[in-house]
Amino acid sequence: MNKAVHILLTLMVTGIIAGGVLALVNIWAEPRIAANQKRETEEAIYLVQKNGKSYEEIKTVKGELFKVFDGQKNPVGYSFVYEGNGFQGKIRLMIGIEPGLDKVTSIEILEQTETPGLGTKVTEHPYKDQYNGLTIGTGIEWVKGKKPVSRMKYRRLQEQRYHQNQLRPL
Amino acid sequence: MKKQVSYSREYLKGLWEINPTFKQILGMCPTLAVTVSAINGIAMALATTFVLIFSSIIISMVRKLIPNQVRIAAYIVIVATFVTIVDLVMKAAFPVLSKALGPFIPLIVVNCIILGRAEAFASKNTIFRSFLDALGNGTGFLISLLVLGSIRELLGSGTVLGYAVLPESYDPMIIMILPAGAFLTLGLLMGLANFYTARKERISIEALRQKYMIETEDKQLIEAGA
Repeated sequence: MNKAVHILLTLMVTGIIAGGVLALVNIWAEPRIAANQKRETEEAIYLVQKNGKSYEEIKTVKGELFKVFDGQKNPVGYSFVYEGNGFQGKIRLMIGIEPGLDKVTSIEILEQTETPGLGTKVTEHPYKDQYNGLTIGTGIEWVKGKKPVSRMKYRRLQEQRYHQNQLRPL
Repeated sequence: MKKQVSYSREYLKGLWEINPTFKQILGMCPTLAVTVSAINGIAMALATTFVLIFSSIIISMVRKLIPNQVRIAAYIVIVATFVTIVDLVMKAAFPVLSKALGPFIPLIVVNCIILGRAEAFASKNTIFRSFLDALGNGTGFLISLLVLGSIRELLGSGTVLGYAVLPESYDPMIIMILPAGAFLTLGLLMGLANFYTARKERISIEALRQKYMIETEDKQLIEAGA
C-alpha cells in the first residue's frame, strides 16, 4: 500500500473510532452531568436564601433568576446565577439578595478554576461569609481578599445592578 | 535475542526502580499541583493509571499497524480519547472530585508518564507486558502522590484523608498547601530517595568487594598449600 495512503487511513480510522467511542460515552454522561448541575444550582438557591423552601424561575429576565419563598409561600428574596472572569477562568456564582433588593444575603460558588490551594479558598466559608449582609446600591464596600479574585467578585456583585434594574422589591 | 524479564519484575519495577515521580521525574505538573490533599493525589493517580493502562494496551495492540511517521499523533488521539472518557465519567459520577481536580484531569493528555511509557514500552512490547508496565507505573505514581499529598495535608491542614490527626492547638503551615510547599516536599523526598539509592549501591559494591577479596585470599591460600 502507498505510504501516504497508509498514513491517511491510519489517522482517519483512529479519529473515527475515537470520535465514535466518545459519542457513546457522551450519550451516557450528558444527562447525568446536566442533572448534577441542576441539583447543584437548586442546592445553591437555598444555600444563599437560608429561609427558602421553594422557588420559581423568572423566565422574563435574561439569565438564571429565581424568586424564593418560605414555608408559607411568602417571598424571602431572589437568588440568581452570575458568571464572570476570575483569576484563572470563569467563576459562576449564586447570589442571594433580600426582598428589598438592598442587601446580599450570601453567595455560593457554583464553578471556579482557581489555583488549587490558596485560590480555591474562595469556595470556603470564611471567605464567602465576607459577603453576607453587604449593602447593594449605596455601593458594596471593598472586601479584602487574598487574591485578585476578590476584586473580580466585587465587580460581579456590582454588575448585579443590571439584574436589579429588572427586579422590583418584594 | 534480548532476555525478557519476568512478569512480576515488569510490574514491580514501576514501584521504585523506575518510579515515575522519583526516578523518571515525569508528570511533575499534576504532582505539584493537586497534592494539596491525599484524596486529590489518590484521585489524580487513579485517573492517570486508568488512562495509562488502557492507552498502553491499545497502543501495544496497534503498534504494528501505525506508521512510524504518525505514531505520536495517533498515540495522542488514543490518550486524549481515554482522558476525555475519564473527564466525562468523573463529571457524571463524581462531580465533587471532578471539581476538586479542576483542569488537571484534561491535562492528563499531556502527562509525560503516559506518552513516555507508550513510546518507550508499549510500542515495543506485547499487550500483557504493556499492561503490567502501565499498572506498575500507575501504582508507583499513586504511591508517590499519596505520600506527597499526605505530608502536605498533614502539615498544611493537620489532617490526613480528611481525618484530623494533629491536635486542634496545631497551627497549620499554610506554605505546605501552596506551590512552595509542593516544591519543598518533593525536593526533600527526592533527596531522600537518592540518598537511599546511593547508600544501597554503596552497600552492594562493598559486599562485592568483600566477596572478591575473600575469594582471592582463598585462591592464594590454596595455591600456597599446593
